[in-house]
Amino acid sequence: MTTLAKTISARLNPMRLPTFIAVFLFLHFSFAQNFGVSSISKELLDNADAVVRLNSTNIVVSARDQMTVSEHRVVTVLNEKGDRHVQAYAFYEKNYKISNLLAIVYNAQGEEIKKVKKKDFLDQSAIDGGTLYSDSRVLLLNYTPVQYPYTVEFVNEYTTPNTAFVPNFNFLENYRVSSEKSDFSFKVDCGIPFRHKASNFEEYQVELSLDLNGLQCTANNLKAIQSEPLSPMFNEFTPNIKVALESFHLEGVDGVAKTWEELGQWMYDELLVGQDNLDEETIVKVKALVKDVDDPLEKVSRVYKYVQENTRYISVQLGIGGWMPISATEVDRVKYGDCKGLTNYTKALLSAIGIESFYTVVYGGNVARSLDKDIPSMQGNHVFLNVPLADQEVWLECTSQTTPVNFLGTFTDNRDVLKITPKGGQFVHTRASLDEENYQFTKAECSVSADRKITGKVTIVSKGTQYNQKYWRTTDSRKEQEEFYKNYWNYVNNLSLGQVNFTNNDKEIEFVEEIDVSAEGYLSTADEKFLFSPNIYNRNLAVPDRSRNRKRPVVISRGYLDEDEFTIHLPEGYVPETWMLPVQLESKYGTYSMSIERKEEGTLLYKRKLLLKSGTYPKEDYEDYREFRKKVARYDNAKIVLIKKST
Amino acid sequence: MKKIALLLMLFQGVLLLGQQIEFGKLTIEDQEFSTYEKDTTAHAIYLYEKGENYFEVQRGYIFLITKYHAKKKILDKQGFSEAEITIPYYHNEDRSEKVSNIRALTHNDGVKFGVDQETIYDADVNERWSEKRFTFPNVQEGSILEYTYEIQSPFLYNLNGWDFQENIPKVYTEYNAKIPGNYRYNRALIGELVLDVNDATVQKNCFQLPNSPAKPADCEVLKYVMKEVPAFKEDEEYMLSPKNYRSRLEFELSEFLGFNGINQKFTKTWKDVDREFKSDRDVGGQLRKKNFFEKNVPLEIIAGNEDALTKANKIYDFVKNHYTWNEKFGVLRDNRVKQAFEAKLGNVAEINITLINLLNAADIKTDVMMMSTRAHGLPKKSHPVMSDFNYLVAKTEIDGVTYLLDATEKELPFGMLPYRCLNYYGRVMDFDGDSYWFDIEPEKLNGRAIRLQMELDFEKGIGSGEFDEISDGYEAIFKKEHLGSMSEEEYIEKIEEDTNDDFLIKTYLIDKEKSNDKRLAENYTFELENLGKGQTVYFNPFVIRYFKTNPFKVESRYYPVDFGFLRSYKYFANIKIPAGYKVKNIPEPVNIGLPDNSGIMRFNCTTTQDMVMVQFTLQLKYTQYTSVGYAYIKEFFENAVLVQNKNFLVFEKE
Repeated sequence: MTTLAKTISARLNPMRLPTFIAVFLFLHFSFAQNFGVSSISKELLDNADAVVRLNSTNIVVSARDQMTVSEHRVVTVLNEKGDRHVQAYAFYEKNYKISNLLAIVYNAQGEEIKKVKKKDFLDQSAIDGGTLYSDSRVLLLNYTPVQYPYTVEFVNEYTTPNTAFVPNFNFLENYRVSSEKSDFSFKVDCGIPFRHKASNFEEYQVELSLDLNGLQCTANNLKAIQSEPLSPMFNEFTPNIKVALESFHLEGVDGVAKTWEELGQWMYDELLVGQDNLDEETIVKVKALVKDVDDPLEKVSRVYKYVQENTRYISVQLGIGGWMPISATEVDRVKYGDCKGLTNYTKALLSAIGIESFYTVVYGGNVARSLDKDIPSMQGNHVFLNVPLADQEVWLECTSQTTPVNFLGTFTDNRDVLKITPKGGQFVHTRASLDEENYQFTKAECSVSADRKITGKVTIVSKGTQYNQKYWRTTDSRKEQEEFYKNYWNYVNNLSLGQVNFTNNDKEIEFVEEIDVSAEGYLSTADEKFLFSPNIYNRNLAVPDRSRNRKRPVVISRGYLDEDEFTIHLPEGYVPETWMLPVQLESKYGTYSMSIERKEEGTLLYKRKLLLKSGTYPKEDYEDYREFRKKVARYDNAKIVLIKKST
Repeated sequence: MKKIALLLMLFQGVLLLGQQIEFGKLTIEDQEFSTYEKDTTAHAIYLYEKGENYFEVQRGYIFLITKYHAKKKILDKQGFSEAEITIPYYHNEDRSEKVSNIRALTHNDGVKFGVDQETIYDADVNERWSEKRFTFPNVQEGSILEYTYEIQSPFLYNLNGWDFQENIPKVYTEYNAKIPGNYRYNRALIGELVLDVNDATVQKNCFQLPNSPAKPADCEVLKYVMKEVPAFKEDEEYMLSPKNYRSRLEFELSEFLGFNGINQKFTKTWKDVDREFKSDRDVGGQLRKKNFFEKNVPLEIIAGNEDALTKANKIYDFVKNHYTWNEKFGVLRDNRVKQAFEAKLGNVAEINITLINLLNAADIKTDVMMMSTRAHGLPKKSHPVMSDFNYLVAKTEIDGVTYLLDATEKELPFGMLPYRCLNYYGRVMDFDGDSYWFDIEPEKLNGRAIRLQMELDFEKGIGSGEFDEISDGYEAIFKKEHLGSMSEEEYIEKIEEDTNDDFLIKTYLIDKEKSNDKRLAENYTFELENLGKGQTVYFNPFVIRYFKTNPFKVESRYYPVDFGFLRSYKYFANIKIPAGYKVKNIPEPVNIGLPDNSGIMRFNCTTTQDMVMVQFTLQLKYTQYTSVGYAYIKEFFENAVLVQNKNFLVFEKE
């Protein structure tokens, strides 16, 4: 959806020793190392598309506003899929100084085949699609491999005044990438205290040495890891280190922070204060909006609606503007802004009617990622607004023109976020929706005719995360609707869509779909009988992939509950040959039940219920979970036989 | 309703009289416009758009000036993205186009909001292109966004024409050009929409170089207008480039009659092009590197004693294996064949020019064929437009058979072009004679055929069997590329996923003897689980289905369906009747054709004492079907899906 700050490259590197020593070290490396493929041990080649031969990052902080990062990387790429792990690129901004940038390509024997100097790197803007303008840029190695394996040695050294962001370091970089030698050193030459957090060091025998002025860590021979379905996030189980300084600098602004409280205080004082003024005219307008309203939630809703109706999301990231919101007056004038600008604007409007609210920093994304509490530092990629009312915490997503009041969706739910208050930073955990709240109810009335056609009226009510998947669809074009339903019911051939009606009840936070739908040839004929699948409108046929030699726990990040009731009118004169017995499946991952009742003559009632429970389960459970889903898929696909009633 | 129509007519009348539309002022019609009846799905619409090109002398240099003015109305929130404007401009090492006089206003019910100059950003896109970017302030549903700018270009060939049709509708779009008679441009109107105004007049003595003794040039004054232009909508799968259908006016500089009396021809007729290429040292030089290659390739491949076809095949394989393709295309100019050969890395043109050089060195006469990829559009046949071409292949004739060759793809057999090249025709540049159009005839034998045997056990609810699958032509190439992009294990898992969870592949092998460069023969053994049990068992005989869902989903289509090549899909299964059971019923035969016998589908089941035989054939006999015929194609595939999904053999316990 949006970016809080310019993306800072996660990798970096060697030492701000006098230059000649650095050069000497580098030469030493080049001659001492053998980059031939034959010198890679077999265990590092197993399951790998690339081998990181060396990943050495050295950071020296020589002043509060001067940090030199030197990176020396050597990656052997074994096949085409390994190309993306070369990662020979350097992000930079206006006030960065790149002092050294070089790439050398070697063949399988370790002989040099190409040398690329700084001026031959591709110089590109580093903005994503949703950004109108940003001064972030990237220098990219532009190399097309002509043979595999090959090896790229990459050296990148730069100096930046932005010490607020000390690059993190990952000892293992990705799935199917092994790591021969990786080391990270951090050194402070100017006496500023720092803190660090090392994760998963023991399991991978990463060595750490620490003193007052810095730290150093090294790992050797880390084997490649295979990805697994429904796995925890890569960074949760692989070794990495994060470092932060107690006093730092960011785009012309100094900061001090030992704790989250202090960091939040700094953000409030330096980035937010004074940005929330509004002109008198706007204050009058917003007061008029809530005139005669007593209920605080209703007041918040009206202001939020005003923001949604009058602004739009446009991202411009320039200098400190990557972290500081543009002023509320400016947003008020142009009626656009990024997440920071729109959140700050909404905060200012609420403040004008006497409601206090807090600018809140979060990792936005469909995977619920918390800010890392253990290491106070500049984190997150998004901001939104927290409004504490007497009886509840209300959340506002100010970049969206459609998200209802207090709906977190899957973008900001269930995670630790940082509220920036006048009294400093405060951690809170956002609400999670219970499995049963992620609810979908499908009710349908369907006629089956003897020419094998089905015609039905379907109503689907969705809540929670299931609401999240659809609520923005109200403006879908007919073509988009057709694509959506032909994909949703892709097991029904020749689906033909009639009237479609969407209602977004944003007060109750529920989305209602009313669909007229039919399909020719839904019944199969065989032997003058019909084969008929009674689950017409909600088959859950997704079965997770096989996972041989499962190594990690099974994570079901979000659960849900589906209930279905289909009234089915059989073709004139036909009855089921045999009845399907009711099904009841119980497992620790959820429950499934299905039944068919006979109503009046020629009418069946199909009922189904599927509850999937979120949770983390031991790795041994994977096959069992897969079996559960296979059974669900099988029952959802089941058919009954219809025969002509003997008269 | 009537009133609006009247107003609209009045509005157009005014425009036709040529009254200047002033920046910053809305007409009554602009203000009263609320909905667009002709396309109620539009999120935004151009109320007015005007472009102008002319030449101007500044500081002794001639510049091409572009002026642009537009008014867009935002109809709903989904149209807000139309408020973000980018103005690309071109530069090279020495010179750059200049964008100036950007002015932009948001009109909200008579109130205007301007764009600050400091919020107009300048962004580098790549070495040759930059952009001015801005967005409008205070955008609401119903806002009218008006902007104007000017581009001053030293690149006179950048007179490119005009896009009448874009992704949102236009009420009125006008293009004007004033071109001194010294500059001759070829022009072509692409697409099916017609011009509402098509004026060309001559203005005497309109252009003069300062301090030039030459007499002033006359100008051609052009005005083209289209009204109520529908939004351009792209179709789904199986189509040629949308460029072939989008309404657009194209210009290409063909000739410059110098003020000093010296004429410079750019592109005019194919004779000119031929002459130009023949005398172009760079182009000719790249194609005459015989000496270089003779020194740098193993002598036996060009000087061997084999017959020409064997030799050509060897050369083709040599070039394929020598090079890595850098994923770039290329045309006749700007190639460095020697460097590419030494680096073993090149674009399409460099690789295929190497091939052409080597074939000629081996005395197999081979020419360049310039062509365009499917995504790039069909080249115009009316006159040469060099920018229509983006690709180059080799054309040779051996023993009376013509071959088109492209050495960029490792899996591509001799004589077949990649799928991206199946774009109907190209221009063969015969440097000894005249160039000529040549049709690309795709390989005719393409398809997949499965022969399957299986046994069923309804006591246990399981089955097992094996099948051979033969893929031919493009289907074989696609499969080989697919196989090459993953491990065998992943490949098998993908097939299992595509069927159903009760289908397990036990063994897989490629039959090397039956496979060749145009054919892939695979053998699988498999097991089935969870089949029905009991007194009566219903069994779908399609273990592998070619079309699980209909690839054609939308109700109607704007442009032709183009499959690129002819194709056929066959499935033959022999199913052993399990002991203790008899066949109670088999599906009815199906026999469906497309109009003009352009496609057939047949399905037939028969039984013998102990077997059920299933035969399914689907054949497409045309590569292209018109948008009018879309309904038939859609229905045809619907039936194909039904046949494979809805037919059951009925077995009954004896």
